[in-house]
Amino acid sequence: MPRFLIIEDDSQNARFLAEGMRELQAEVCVCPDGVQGLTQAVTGHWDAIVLDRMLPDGFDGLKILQALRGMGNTTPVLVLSALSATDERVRCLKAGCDDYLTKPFAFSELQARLEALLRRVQSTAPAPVLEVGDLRLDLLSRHAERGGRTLMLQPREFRLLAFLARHVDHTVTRTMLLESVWDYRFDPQTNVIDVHISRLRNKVDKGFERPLIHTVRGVGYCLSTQVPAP
Amino acid sequence: MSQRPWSSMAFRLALVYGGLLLLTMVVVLTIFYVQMVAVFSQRMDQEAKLDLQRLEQHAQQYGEDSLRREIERLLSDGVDSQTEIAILTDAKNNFLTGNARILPRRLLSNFGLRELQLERHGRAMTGRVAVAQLPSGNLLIVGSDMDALQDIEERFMRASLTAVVIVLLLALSGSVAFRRLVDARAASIRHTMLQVANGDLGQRIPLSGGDDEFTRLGSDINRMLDQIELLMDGVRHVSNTIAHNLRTPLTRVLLQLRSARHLGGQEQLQLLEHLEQEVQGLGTVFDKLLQIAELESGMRRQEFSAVDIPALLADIADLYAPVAEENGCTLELAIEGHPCALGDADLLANALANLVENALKYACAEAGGEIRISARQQGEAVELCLQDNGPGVPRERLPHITDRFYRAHEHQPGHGLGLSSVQAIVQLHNGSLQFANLAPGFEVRVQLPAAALMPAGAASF
Repeated sequence: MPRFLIIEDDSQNARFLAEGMRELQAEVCVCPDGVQGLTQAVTGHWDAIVLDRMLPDGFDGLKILQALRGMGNTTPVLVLSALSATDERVRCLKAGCDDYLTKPFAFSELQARLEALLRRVQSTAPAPVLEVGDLRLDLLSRHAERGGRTLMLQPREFRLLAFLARHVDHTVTRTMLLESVWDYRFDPQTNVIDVHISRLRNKVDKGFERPLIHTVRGVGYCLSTQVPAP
Repeated sequence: MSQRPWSSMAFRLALVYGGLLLLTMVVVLTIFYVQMVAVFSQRMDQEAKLDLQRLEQHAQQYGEDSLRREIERLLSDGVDSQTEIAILTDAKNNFLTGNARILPRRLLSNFGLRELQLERHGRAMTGRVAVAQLPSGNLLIVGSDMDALQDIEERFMRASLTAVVIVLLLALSGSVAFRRLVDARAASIRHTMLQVANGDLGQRIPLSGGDDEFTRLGSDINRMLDQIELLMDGVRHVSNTIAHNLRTPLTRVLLQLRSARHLGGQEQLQLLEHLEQEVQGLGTVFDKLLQIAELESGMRRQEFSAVDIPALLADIADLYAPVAEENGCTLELAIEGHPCALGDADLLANALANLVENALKYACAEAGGEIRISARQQGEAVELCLQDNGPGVPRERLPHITDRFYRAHEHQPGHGLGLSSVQAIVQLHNGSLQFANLAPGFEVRVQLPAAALMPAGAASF
């Protein structure tokens, strides 16, 4: 069971977050201020910390993050911030946070990102070959095949599929895909990611009995041998 | 004008100027005095000495009787007879001959040049004389009347004093008048500024039409006020539209939430899902507005670096070409050379994505749409040009399309913030943004400052 620490001063927000995470079978602890939060972060053992950027009493999220990393603590930290300024994001990433999410956000986005953080820790050395059902991706030779049949993928399509495969059985959001596969951070107003996924689907799932790429309504996509629960 | 006159700068300046004038005058008058009076009295002394010498020599050569005759001849020759003085007395100071007597009667002990009280024709006066004792013991006194000189001196002093007083009065009244004048000009500016400070931004400083310092200052301030008023109007307009664009959907959400209470199972779920999307849309609008505000504040400029434009365009094309193809349209790139711009790759990608998305929305709604992106370096600038063959934007709407919440095609979905953020991004890069109608089609031209250095890996081209 994953253990999460939430450092957030808005009690309602914190409660919603905690409830949402408990529904996902996680153990959650909530700290309403910076000092308590830092103590908990250092003394407890956590799989990930959700940290609010702006906390009262001048001891804000960035300082906690810096203190934590200064002590050599490497627990993954996801910063929640009401500051959407882009240099703010850069500042937090430089201070050692692993991901950054701007308020308001959908809970599903937070969930997907937290799960990605946990997986990143578990698989520090990525395997050169990814396998999902009868799909096989060789990351070194950039070769993809399904059921023994070679898939003719464009380089970008390969990266997209590899990203989905790395997060197998987990939902990834459209923003995560744009960030990781295209390396750009902005919100496209059109369904541009959907079009790419549908092209990928045509190459990966067409002609096979069981589809591997699934749409998770209102959230994103999931590569899995099973149809994910809605 | 309740303040003390000294607190006025105009007054102080005029007064200091008056003081300087007075000083100049005193210096000039002193020079005048020295040149006139001092030189004159010096010459008198010299003449007295010379005359004395001559008469002494005369006495030596021809004897004292001849001297007496010479003195009488000198006094009656009609030259300088009003001022010249010559007296011969015996050793006991008894008058022998001459045209004046020494007052009071006493023995002279000082010889040489001196002043002496004399009486001539029954009138007391001061003489500037040279005195010598002849070998016989008689005293010879030669010189001239100082009254004339003293008179000149007196007149000179009186005239100088009058002039100084007049100058003082003139300087003082000039200072006051000058101060009033400057005060009156400054007061009209101050009056206007006070009204502006109290919130009446429409006030302007009345200009006299001349080209003096105050008029120029006034017109500068007026120009500044015009700019401030324009900006204020802009801010007011923006806050109004923001309020409208956020309140309307908020109200919609609230009303729908209320009606959701009375719905059952499946319908309620659907409505809630719809509401979630609506609130997320609000969040997007909010984010966009904040992003535009952040861009307009110019905060991110320090992180600029060389951006490889061909690579950026290739990424954008790679991202959007499938969307175009899906609709039976084309997206093509035409790049000349290897232009690099100074900027932020994420922001530039964002701006380009916005432009491409617009083109996709309007030109590629039906099959046959074409989007063409070209890039080239032109001197110090990188020029990007994006053309489509869509319906374009009516000419009269072009000036407004970068306004926040302005939507040239109202029937299309959108927030009306895309081009505002493109504009903000381009402005942050010190670039320029132009729109044109191609009839049919729409053209966007973006000019960005070129980067001096190419990013690593781009030099191989």
